[in-house]
Amino acid sequence: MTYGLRVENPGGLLVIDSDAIHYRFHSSPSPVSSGSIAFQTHVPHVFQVTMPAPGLVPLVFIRLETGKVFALESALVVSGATWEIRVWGVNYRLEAPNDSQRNATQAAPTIYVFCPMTSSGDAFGLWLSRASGEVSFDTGWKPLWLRQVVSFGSATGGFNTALSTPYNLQPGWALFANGQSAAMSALTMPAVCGAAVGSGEVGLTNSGEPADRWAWGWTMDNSTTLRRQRIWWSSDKPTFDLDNSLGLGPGGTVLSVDVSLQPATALLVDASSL
Amino acid sequence: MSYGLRCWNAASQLTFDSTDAAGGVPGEVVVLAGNPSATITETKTYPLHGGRAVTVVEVVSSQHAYPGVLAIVVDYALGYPRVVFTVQPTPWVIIAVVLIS
Repeated sequence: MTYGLRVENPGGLLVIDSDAIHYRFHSSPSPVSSGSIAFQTHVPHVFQVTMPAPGLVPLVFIRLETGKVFALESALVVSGATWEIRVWGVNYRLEAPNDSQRNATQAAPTIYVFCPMTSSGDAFGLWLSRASGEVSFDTGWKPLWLRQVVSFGSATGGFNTALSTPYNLQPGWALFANGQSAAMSALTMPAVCGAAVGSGEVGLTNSGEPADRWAWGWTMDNSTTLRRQRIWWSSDKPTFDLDNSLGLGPGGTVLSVDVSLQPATALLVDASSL
Repeated sequence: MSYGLRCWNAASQLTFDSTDAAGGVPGEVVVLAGNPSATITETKTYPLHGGRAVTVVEVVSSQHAYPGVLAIVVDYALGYPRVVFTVQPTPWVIIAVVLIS
């Protein structure tokens, strides 16, 4: 860098760089269609946002709430600069062995969409541009102000079981049921961006059905504990029916449950400043 | 505040504070459109940021797909960050943010 502006935080990490196109707050849209949960069906909430220009990619933050798990399912261009954003939401409750998320209820997410920086046109403030002339930072908007970056390590767990076994005593049950947590600093209104990557499967001994797969989402236990938590979903046969999978219905007898969480990173902002 | 940068908007609302900001500016938001029948590889380099580290954060992930769909390798052999994304066959779109810190 021979010219321009760079700002570091007290830890020496870059927080503003005139060479990088920063993001800024775009909007907090209402859903164009609400999600729903029914037996073997989980429809995400659908939002639409239009970026300032085609080719710009939105960053989506979801407000964290205790007792609710949210996950960004997808973000896809539908036309020109318009994106469709799909978000799952579930009112979470601890799985009891014979419980089922067939009784789960839908939780409505609040999302905050950020877009690449453009000129605000304001006559005052701090305005930076790259050598190419593109605006890279402009205080006329609300810049993306990352407050925390929380890392989750990989984790695995699982269990082999039989119908009469108390599942909650099985090795790996805690990871399966309760996910993985990490400490965060308290924010007035935390919102998270990042994929809570995880995977898992249920093997069925006598049905021959494909294994279930689960998406994972984010929740918070309290103001200082972030958690990634399983949300029922399956690429092969959508189901929330743990009972069926565990052999209490026609799905067959469970042979094994394997959970494999890959490393994940959560970006946190405080939405109270938006 | 003895040093740093704070920004307020016209409504006197604090909108940025470098002393309370997590490290990392978005070098790029990468959209990887999976190919259902082929592995794809994309390489991104950041020559303006020699000496800086990068962190890649998956935003829309391979959670639709099966484990191991996305591999990310970061190296600095060129004297600046280089990120190689390898996406195994998948119909899904993966979005990741490259944070430069």
